[in-house]
Amino acid sequence: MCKALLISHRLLDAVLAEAKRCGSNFRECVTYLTASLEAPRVVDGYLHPQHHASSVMTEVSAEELGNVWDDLLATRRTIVCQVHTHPGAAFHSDTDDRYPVVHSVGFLSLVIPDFGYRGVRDVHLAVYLGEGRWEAATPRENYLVISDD
Amino acid sequence: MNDRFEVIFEYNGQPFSIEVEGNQQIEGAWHRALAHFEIRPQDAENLGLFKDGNQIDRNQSFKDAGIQPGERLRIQPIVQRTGGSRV
Repeated sequence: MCKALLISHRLLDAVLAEAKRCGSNFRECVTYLTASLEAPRVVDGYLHPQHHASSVMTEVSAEELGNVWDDLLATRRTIVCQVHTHPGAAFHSDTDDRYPVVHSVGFLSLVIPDFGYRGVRDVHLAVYLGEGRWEAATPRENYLVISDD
Repeated sequence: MNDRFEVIFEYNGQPFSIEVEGNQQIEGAWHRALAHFEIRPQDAENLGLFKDGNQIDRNQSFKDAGIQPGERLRIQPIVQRTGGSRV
């Protein structure tokens, strides 16, 4: 049985387009990929929380996270992967390590380079090991499969 | 008088019911909920327990916190951050 997260190319393109629009090539952006509780390995959409942002950071407040939790409970969905852009190379920074939206072991975090303007090339996917530790999720297809719609 | 009742911890869209006693410290049930959601205790530093949008002190009993049977309590991050610079 495949345990990798499945996302369609079309949906991932929509997330990237949102990140590019939000960041306008000078700010980071963060979104959360979601899945239904019944099919938690199939990404069915994304949430774009209100966030403060600069060229090197984003921050989502407790109040906004409360709104996100409201949305998840109302729609019986769960966050399965955090996605955010970086100004340059994609990697998991110390801040990314310490302040994810979900702290469950096995949670995924996708970092997109160059504010999303290079598409999904050279992205960095990390998996949470707990206690602040992450490792590169390789090979990527074991964790995230991008399907042709 | 039976002082046992159920409360529901919610995390990332998922509910988890726990039977507690009114005089029980919230902290013990908090740790059970963390384990259920596969969250290590060391990761709780950036998490809070919220009731009606307000963070509550876990070092008190359910009764002292005014938590009623069937009440929903949220485990959520206090903040979520990303940062693209290398430190």
